Amino acid sequence: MTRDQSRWTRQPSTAPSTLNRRKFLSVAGAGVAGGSLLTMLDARQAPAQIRGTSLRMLKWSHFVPAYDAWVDKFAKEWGDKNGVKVRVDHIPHLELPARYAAEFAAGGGHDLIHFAGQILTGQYYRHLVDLSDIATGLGRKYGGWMENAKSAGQVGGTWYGVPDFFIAIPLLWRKDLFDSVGRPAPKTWDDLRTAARLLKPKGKPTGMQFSHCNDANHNWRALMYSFGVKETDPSGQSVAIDSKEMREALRFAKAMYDEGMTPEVFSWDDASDNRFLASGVGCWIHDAISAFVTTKDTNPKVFEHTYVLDEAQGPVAKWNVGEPNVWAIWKFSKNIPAAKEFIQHISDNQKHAMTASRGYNMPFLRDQYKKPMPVLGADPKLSALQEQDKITAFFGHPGPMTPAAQEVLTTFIVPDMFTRVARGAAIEDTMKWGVGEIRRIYAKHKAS
Amino acid sequence: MATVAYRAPRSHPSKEIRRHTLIYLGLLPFLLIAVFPIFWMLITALKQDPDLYRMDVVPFWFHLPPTWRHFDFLFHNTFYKDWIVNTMSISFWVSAITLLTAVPAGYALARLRLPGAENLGIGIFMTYLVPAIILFIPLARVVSTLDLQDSWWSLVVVYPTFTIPFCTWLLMGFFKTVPVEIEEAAMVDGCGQLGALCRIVLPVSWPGIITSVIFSFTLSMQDFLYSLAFVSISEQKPVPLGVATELIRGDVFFWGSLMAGALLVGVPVAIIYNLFLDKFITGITGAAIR
Repeated sequence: MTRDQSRWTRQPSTAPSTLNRRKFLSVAGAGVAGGSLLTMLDARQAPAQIRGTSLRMLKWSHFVPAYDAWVDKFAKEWGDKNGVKVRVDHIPHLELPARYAAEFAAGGGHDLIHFAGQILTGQYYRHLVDLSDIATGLGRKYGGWMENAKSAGQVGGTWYGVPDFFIAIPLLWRKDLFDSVGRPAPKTWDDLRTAARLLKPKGKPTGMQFSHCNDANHNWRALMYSFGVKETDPSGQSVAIDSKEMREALRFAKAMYDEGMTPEVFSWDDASDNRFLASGVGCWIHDAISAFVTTKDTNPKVFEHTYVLDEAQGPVAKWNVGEPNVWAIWKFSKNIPAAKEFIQHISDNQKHAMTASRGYNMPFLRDQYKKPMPVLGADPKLSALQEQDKITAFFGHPGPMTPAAQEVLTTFIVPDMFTRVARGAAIEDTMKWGVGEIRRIYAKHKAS
Repeated sequence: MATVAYRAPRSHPSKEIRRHTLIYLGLLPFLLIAVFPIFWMLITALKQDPDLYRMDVVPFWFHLPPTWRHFDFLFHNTFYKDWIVNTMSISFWVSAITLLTAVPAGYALARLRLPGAENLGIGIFMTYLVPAIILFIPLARVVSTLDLQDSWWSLVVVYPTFTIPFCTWLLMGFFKTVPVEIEEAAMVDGCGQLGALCRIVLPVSWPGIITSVIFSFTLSMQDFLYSLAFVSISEQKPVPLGVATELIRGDVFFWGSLMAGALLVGVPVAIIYNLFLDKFITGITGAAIR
């Protein structure tokens, strides 16, 4: 543990104000023991067995290039210190599943892998190393895991993945444009709809993807969950999306599209809303802070007027749908001990990782939400994200990210339901189609 | 000696101009469609980032001074030079392997009157139609067994699985257009079957061979899925994989550098392709008429 981490986890002092000799000795003894432990942890040495070995890991190409540079350097330094030759490879997150399918088929590849967005823990868990020792230890050390972290890393109560971080997908809105139509800072989905309705005639519409892309999956789920929609029951076994709440969410989305968007949203990809904001046209978007951060370079004027809302309140709840990132190790990995050591090491340095990612990497461990959080705490526009742990859900909510939920995600059934309704299909017909598709997927996974 | 003057029929100049105008007007939409992507790549590669995101101006020209920044980024912040070398090396080796295999295979199927040769030819072509998304999983085991994972040599092994079937089928059709009599004449003059192939058939089949090389080369240059599945080390990647994996980060696209990367590889290949255009058309049509 580094000095920074020990400061991060420091608890308020409970030492008595007066000391007698016995108390002094016990406190001093505990202090010496604790200090020794901290020193030991600080100088944490990996087991000798990993010396002289090599470790290859695969991560995605992070939104923030500086973070990849940091990870590469961090891994190299760790490798140099522990006598491990480390190599970090990066590919885009959407391409990871194909690569993992090839590695799985070949029975060889990277020693340490990273699931991003599409969480394949449930799909590959039989071929992944049990990481319960690391995950349980991290939970104990840092105040426990967010409840939703278990869904990303556990299958049947066993940790086959160690949650690394998740990406928040907040609301980015233009204060100058809201001011121009006399609207206050938005708090609810209704506020956003109203602003879009007023601003669209002025050539400043809003937009959320009605298409097959990651953002469409996040954004419409955030709206759904805020309307009280449940994709499944908490066990993740029974489909629960066929509800009046889902119908309400579809109705709301249709109205928001008609009033505040233009048809270009049907052809948008993940980067389109970034361009939309950076161009100065969009009055608000629902996207990761990458759109906010890059606008600083591409359109400083827009950046100056753009503000961040952690999430909009719906009629029932307020849920942000994050993009989880999870470490895992293949059973056929050639260097399992080194891979486990590295997960432990980088998890102990989450604060530095968050700084390197410019506040992008949101932690899964509760203690790491102590304010001020790195980067977020220092930026008034981003400080609202310091309580993201309380409002973050992932796909399949309130159930876990099972392989069936994963397939529903990757087949874009939910965005397709919203698209059909926005294009004019009847809500009941859409429900019949969408629920039928989802039930078919769950039935297939139950049978297999 | 009396000369007979032959006067070519003269068309009316204005009629001729009208005819040409109509022809060029008819071609214009095709020209625009063909050239527009290259134009778009070029101006995007040379625009400053803030200029790329302006929606209040006509996007087809510069509104801020052009910049070389994206090219600079490509060459100094990525492994672009390695990617070009890898791409060319892969394409060269794949084309060579394809020719060495497809020429004898196509010739045998076209000439040797093997029982079931026609169906075998169709069968070989059918393997070309199996999608890569299905093939890459079993091929992963082959690549792993050969210990070629994360090396561009893995692609030299894999790409012929789709170039050989197509080129065999193409050359088979082309060899059928070569009159069998000239081959028989060569044999009467003392050539064996191999000599007739090398000295007579191959020289007259030049357009078909060029077409096969162009196909192998361009198919190798275009692939994304196999390279994604088998190569993850930056300096081992070919261009299509390199630009897509290192210049797209989630929803952040490095548009200028992406376009610069595509332009630098695409334009020279298009020029070379055009140099062999006549041969290419002869090759394709020669194969197609049988």
